[in-house]
Amino acid sequence: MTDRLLVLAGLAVALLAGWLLLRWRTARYRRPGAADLVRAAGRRPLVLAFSTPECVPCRTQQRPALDELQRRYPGRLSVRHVDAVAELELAERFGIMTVPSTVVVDPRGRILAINHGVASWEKLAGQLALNGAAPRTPVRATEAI
Amino acid sequence: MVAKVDHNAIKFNQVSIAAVSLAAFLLDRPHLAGLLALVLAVGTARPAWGLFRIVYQRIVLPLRWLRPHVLDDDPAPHRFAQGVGAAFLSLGWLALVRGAGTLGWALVLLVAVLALVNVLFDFCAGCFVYYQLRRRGLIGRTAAQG
Repeated sequence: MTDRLLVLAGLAVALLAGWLLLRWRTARYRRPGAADLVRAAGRRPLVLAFSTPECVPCRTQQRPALDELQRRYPGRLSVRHVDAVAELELAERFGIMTVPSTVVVDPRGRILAINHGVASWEKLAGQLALNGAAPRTPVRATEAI
Repeated sequence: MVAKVDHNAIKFNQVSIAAVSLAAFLLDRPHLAGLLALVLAVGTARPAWGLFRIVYQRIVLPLRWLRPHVLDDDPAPHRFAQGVGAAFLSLGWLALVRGAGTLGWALVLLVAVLALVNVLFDFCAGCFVYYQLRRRGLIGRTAAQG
């Protein structure tokens, strides 16, 4: 039993190390910012939503979440849908690893978060501080897989 | 096909899979992993007969331990993922009963880890693998994704 507990502890440590590595990697991709994209979006907060045409959770979960976000905060943000395979260069710029993924950018072009996996509208609103919450600091590497 | 899917039922299913897989490993009970494979296979073939679904609907919901979180979704990819879990657990069980302990438990623990990652981080391992293969041009656009 003890040896098996040790194996599980090792697995937990490996997972933690992987999570920390992912945070470090995401922080690296956040650093250059996306001022050019925000300019093109009219200097409004921007959510880049990466998907592929065949991605089921993109269609059934992420898309409705983004629609809900725009419905609740009309005119306060831009959402740009990106085909992560057709626009591979843009996906690589932000280190996109899976779909759906979302990149959250503030009006100054600072990347507030890169979410790998489905992000709820509540989470995106919180990251953009649309719901009255304190804005996320763009310095700290905050990220969700 | 878009239908209504209770995402808390899916999360309960994943937590149950992870808990039983980890218990099988900790207690060194290969047949528990085999039984779990059977439960998942049955639940994939006949969702209404899924043990964890029955527990969720008959016990967890009536006792209000969880509330339904119903979303428009396609149930097929979730069933597919469960089927993949059943296949990995079956292979793990076969490896264990044939004496390949390391391989067997690695497969069982892989199922547990992927289920937990999905529950904790909403991270779909199938989507990750699919996207990585697509961007490298290893699979075409017509392949189905879950």
